Parts: sequence; structure tokens; C-alpha cells
Amino acid sequence: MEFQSNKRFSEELLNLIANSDPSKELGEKVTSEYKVLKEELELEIKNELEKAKLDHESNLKVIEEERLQGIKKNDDIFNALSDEDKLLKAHIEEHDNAIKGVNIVAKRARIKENNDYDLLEKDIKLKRLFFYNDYSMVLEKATGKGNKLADVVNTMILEKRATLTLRGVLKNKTMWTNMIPLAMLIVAIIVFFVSNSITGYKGDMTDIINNGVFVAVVASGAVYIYSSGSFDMSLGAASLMCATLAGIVWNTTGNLFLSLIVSLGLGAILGIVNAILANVLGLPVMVMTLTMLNILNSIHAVILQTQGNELVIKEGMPAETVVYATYLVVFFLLCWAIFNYTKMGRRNKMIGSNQTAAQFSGISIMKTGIISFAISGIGLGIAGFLFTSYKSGSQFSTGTVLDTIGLNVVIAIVFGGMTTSGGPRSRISCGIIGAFFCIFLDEIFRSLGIADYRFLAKGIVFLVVSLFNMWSTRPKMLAR
Amino acid sequence: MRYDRPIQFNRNPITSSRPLRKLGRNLFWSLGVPVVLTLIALILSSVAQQKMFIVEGFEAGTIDALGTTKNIMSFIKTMTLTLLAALALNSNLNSGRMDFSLGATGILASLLAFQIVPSLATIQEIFLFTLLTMVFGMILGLIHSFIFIILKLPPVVTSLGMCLVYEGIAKVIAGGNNQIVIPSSSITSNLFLEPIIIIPILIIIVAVMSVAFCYSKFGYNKNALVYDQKISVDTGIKEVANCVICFVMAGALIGLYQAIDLTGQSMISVKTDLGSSGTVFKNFLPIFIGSIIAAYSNQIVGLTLAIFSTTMLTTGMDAASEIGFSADIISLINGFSVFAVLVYKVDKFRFINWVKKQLYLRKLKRLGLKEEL
Repeated sequence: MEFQSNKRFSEELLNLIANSDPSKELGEKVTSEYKVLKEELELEIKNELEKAKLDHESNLKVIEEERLQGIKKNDDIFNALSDEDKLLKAHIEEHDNAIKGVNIVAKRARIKENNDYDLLEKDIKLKRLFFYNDYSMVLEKATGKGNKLADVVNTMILEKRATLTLRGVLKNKTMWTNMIPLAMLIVAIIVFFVSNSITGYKGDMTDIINNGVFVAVVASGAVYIYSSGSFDMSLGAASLMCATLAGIVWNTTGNLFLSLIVSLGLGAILGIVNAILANVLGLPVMVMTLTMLNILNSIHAVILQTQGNELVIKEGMPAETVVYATYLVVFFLLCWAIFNYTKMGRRNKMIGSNQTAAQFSGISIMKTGIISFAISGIGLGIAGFLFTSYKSGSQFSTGTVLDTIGLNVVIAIVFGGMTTSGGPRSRISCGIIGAFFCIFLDEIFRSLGIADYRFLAKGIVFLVVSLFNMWSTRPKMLAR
Repeated sequence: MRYDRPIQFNRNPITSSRPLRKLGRNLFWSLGVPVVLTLIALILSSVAQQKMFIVEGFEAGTIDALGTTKNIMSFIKTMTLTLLAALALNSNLNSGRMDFSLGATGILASLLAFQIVPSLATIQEIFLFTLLTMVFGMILGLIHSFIFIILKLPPVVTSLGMCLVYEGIAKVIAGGNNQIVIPSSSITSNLFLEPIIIIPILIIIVAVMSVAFCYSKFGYNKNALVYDQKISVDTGIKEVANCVICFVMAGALIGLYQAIDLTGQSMISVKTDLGSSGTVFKNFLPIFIGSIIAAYSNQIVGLTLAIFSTTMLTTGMDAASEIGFSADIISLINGFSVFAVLVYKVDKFRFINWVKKQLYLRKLKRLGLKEEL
């Protein structure tokens, strides 16, 4: 057995394991010894950390003393000059530069010392992880079976415990920047409830959440398209098509599952058609999707004509907000896992950052585009199905919340902290956060009794947030 | 030694003259699309047993000349409106700036003008309203350009933001109403159907925009910036000034569009949630057909011919409504036509190269040579 933590387990136990068959008793022995050794290790780590901290503090003191000595030495040299020389610009500059130099040297030494201390602290804390790895290896030998899931989880926890420090967390600018949209959403929700209690406005929370869910589902899928720098303006019309077809299937067959499958399938097909037009035929995405929007609206109108210009949905589809929220959570988790833990997300971000570089590094733009549009299409299908369920027992035609979803998704994604040009800052959570922020912003203005101003406010916030998100990527010349 | 060149007579026929051949080719391709689309429109209307512009009178066989003239003027008015919207969109689109806020600009400009001229009952009021809408359109275009230049955000983002802002201001001015009714008279809806008004407007727009886009310093600079932004800026072309002029021009054009359009409806529709952006989406087909025809004439002539063709086709399909050409079907055909034109524009050379490659491979095969490509 190869140990990482200097063979903490006793020779006696290891020999026993080597010469006996795996058994539960052996496992218990290993565990009991592990507990004892772990306490010893904790004490050892505590002592080492204290010692490292004391050394670190004394080193910082030495650096500070050296800095003060350096300053004093230079001040003495300057004070030794005659009064006339002291007034000379060259001498003043020389003195200032010397002081600056001393400060810079001290600053660099402090940074090095802090970094060394962080590394040492991390090394000491990692002993827990190495010891745990040894324990799981020995336990597996002793019992003849391992627990992979527990190993992965514990390894992850111990690794985070070793690397995460409060100072590191507080200094993590990226994390704080990413938290801003979430903070904005929380503030919006608080303001909404406060203004509700002051003005006595009673908005329909079910409606608010449902509308948020529709936009959030579409936006979560659309992040795949937007992260690669692409665009889709036909999302609204496509989701309405899915809703209409899901409604027709439900009315005809009364089969909920079939209705969902048809909606998802149509969404995926529409997404793939867009992807083929954009990535295979190379049509400009903006114009192509706008034209697709018109085509889908026309087809939808023709379908509605066959239904008497209004589609009445039979009762019986799920109408609870909890069900809609579950669909959103499941789809979000799926998108999040694919985006963060597969090649797909990284490819999308790379294409969004620099398409040419991505192409030269072997990424297939066409394949990635087709998968992205297909995933987005599935989101459209879910949104369409949920909307039909929402309208179960009533009717809909055009002019619904789905009609304007295409452009609302762009707004939601920007509010969520992404840029419309995609790239490394793309995150699936942007869709959900932005969608609900959008909805609550509208509701705040309604509750304050100035609903007419909400469009203006949304526009201004949109521009300000976009500027904040894209500040570092703005070109020197006018953007195109 | 003196060398006397023998006298040579041009024995080639006149058709081999290069300038004439070029002129012929340009004329053929420029007029080809309008002629073909007009023929299609005529065929469609005759299949439906309708006549495109001729209105039958009360008695069978007689022709209502007044109605026919009105229909032709209505056709010219539609053409003028499409041309105005397409030109406004094209002012920025060919420079890579997609402008979603054009519709909102027009609506807000007309609302602001309505605050000064609250009635459109007389000719003077209509002209003043038109002028003010254009002026406000220019001011709003100017503000949009400043925001675009200062923020340096992608045009899509800026125009979406400005669309929301302008729609929001319009909603506030309209007091939360979705429609503002304009007091009008019988003159209002008929003024821009008068030949003496609408035809000169069309001619002036074509002439002014042709000069501005194709034969002026501004136009040359704009084209240079379209082809290579960096080299143009490095050579001293003032990109910012050019951009400001483009936005102001687009504002004026959409203002005029809005004023002419409003006189026919006598009400201002205030749209929100980016609903106003639909105004720009409708004009892609003539813009793309125009850009193809433009290769054989110039941008504005190409666009005008394309708009004539598409309006003619739409009129033909409208006349054929009895055989199933409803508004939705027309919109569907319009959408697929845009795709067809786009595919032709984008993939023309790829397709030609593919055909050439196939022919070359066939030739190699015929000669018994090994396939090398």
C-alpha cells in the first residue's frame, strides 16, 4: 500500500489486513484506529498552524522593521544635507524615490510572505485529505468493498476546507461580481414586499411566479445560444407554436405525456432548423431568426384559423405553480450540469470568446451550434407545455406572455449578468436570476402606482447593466 | 523610317462594344426582378379572375377611373412608406448596426409632434405635423447616436435599450393609453394619396438619398467604413460624424414614414415590450433583393426597384385572396422568399464552386485520371 500521509496506521494493523481475508471486524478496527489517529492529526495540524501563524507574524514584523529602518536611513541621509541642498529638486526627488523603493520592496516582501503563508497553511490542512485517502484505501482492503460516493464527497469537502480561506473568499473579485445580479434580485424582491406593505397593493403572486417561470425556462436553454455569441429572436414565436401544438394534442388525445413529448420534439426540431440555417448555410443569425419569427407567427395564425382563431384547452392539465417550478428546477439542473461539467459548456464559452481560435483548436462550430439550438429548443418545448397547462380550462390565441418572450429573454440574460456576445462570463443561472428580476421590477412599479414608468425604468436599467457587464470588452472604435 | 499603321475599320458588331454590353447586362438584371415579379403578380390576379388596380363600377363592364387612380396612388403610397422604412433601416444596417428602436423613434416623434399640433384637420396642420415629426425623429436619432458613441456597446444592445426607453417615454406621454386618437377630417386620409403630393415625395426621397448615399463625401466615407472600419478610420475618415449623420438621417426618414402612415389611420398606437420593433422587421425582403439588384445599378435605385417588385407582388397576392392568398399566407411566402434570397446571397459562390468541383471531377473520371481533389 502506498500512503500519502507517512504511514500513520500501525504496522500491526497493516500486517493483519495483509494476512487475513477482508471482513467487517477488520473494517471496524481500521475505523477505530482512524478515529484515534485523526484526533492526533487534528492536534498536530492545530499546533503546526499556530506555529506557522506565529512565524508569519514575526516575519511580517521583520519586514515592517526593515521598512522603517530603510525610511529612517534615507531620512537621515537627507537631513544630513545642507539647507540649500535640501531645497534642490534633484535631492528631493532622490529622497522620494528612495522612500518609494523601500516601500515597494517591503510591499513585495509582504505579498511573498502572505503567499508563502497561504501555501503552508494549505499544505498543513491538506494532511487531513491525504490521511482520509489513506483511510479509505486501508478500509477498502480490510472490508473488500469501497464507497466511491462518500470518497468523492469527503475529498471535495476536505479539499475545499484546505483551500478556502476567509481572506481568499473576501478577496475573490470574480465571485463578488457574479453575486451582483443575485443581490439585485434579492433587493428587488425586498423592495417589492416593502412597497406592497406600504401601498397595500395585492399583486397575484401565482401569476408573477408563473410568468417568471416561463421566461426563466426559455432563458436557461437560451444561455447555450447566447454564450456562443449567437442570437435567437424567434424564441417567442417558437414557444407559442409548441404551446399550440401541445394544446391540440392534449385536446385530441387527452394524453399528458404525449402532449409534453410533442411539445419538446417540436421545440428541438425548430431549434435544429435554426441551427442548420445559421451554421450549415451560414445565414446571418439576427436576420435569419427575425425572418423565422415572422414565418412561425404566420404558421401559428394559420393553425389558429383551423381552431376558430382561438385555442380552447380542455381542463385536466397540471395547474399548480409547484409543478411549474419543479419543471424549471429540473431543466435548470440539467442545463447547469451539462454547461459546467461537460465539454459542451466550455466549447460554447470558447466560441463566444473567439470563434476563430475555437475553430483552429478543433472545435466544430456546426456541431456545437446544433446541440446548443436543440437544448434551447427543449426549453421552448417545456415553456410551451407549461403555458398550455397554465391555460388549461381557458383559451389563448396571440398576444400572450410567450409572444414577447424572445426579446424578454435578451433582457433577462443581460440583467442576469451575461453579455449578449457570450464568452467566459456565461452562466446558466443568469437566465433565472434575470427573468425574475425583470418580473419583480415590473411589479415594483405596479405596486408603487407608477406602472407606466416601468418600461422607461427597464430600458435605463438595461443600458446601465449592459454597460457594467461589457465594460472591459468594449472596443476602441465604434462597436458593430 | 516611318511606319504608317494601316487604317483599320471596326468590323465588330455594335453588340460587342464593352460599355454597351455592360449597360445591357445592368439593365437586364436590374429590370429582370421587377418584370418577373410583376408577371407573377399579374398571373396570380388573373388566375383569381381579378384585376390588380382596376375597380369595376356599379354597372357591369364599366370602369371606375377614380377608383383605379386611387388604387394606383395607394400602391405608390405603400411603396413610398416601404421605401422610407427600408432606407431608415438600411442607413445603419449595412454598417453592421441593427436598429430595433426605429419603430419606437417614429412613435415617440409623432407623439411629441402631436403635443404641438393636436389636430390634423387642415393641410397646414398636416404639413406642420409632418415637419415636426421629422425634426423630433432627427433629435431622437441624434440622442441614440450619442448614447451609442459614448457607451460603445454593441448596436443590438444599445438599440434594444433605446427601444425600451423610447417606448417607456411614449407610454408616459400617452398617459398609459395604448392608442391616441388624432382629430382629423376627410383631407387627412386623402392628402398623401394625391398624385401631386405623393409622387414628388417619392422622387425627392430617391433623388436625395441617391446623392447622399452614392454621390457624396458622406456616402463614399460610409461605404469605406462598411468595407473596412479600421483602415478607413486610420486613413482619417471621421467615423463618429458619419455615424451621427446615419442616425439623424434614419430618424428623419422614420419620422416622415410615421407622419404619412398616421394620416391614413388618424391614431397613434403606443406599443410597449419591444412591440414597436416589428416596424423594422417587415422590410427585410426588399432590402435583400435591393442589395442584389444594387450590384447592377446603385443602392437606392436597387432598393426602389426591389420595393416596386415586392409591393407589386403583394398587391397581386392581395388580389388573389379568393384563391387562398390570405394575409398570413402572404407573410409566409414573404418569409420564405427572404430565406431564398439570403441563401442565394450567402451561398452563391459556395454553390458555384461546388458545381465547378463536380464538373472537374467528372472530367477527371472521363479522362480516366485519379481523383485528386
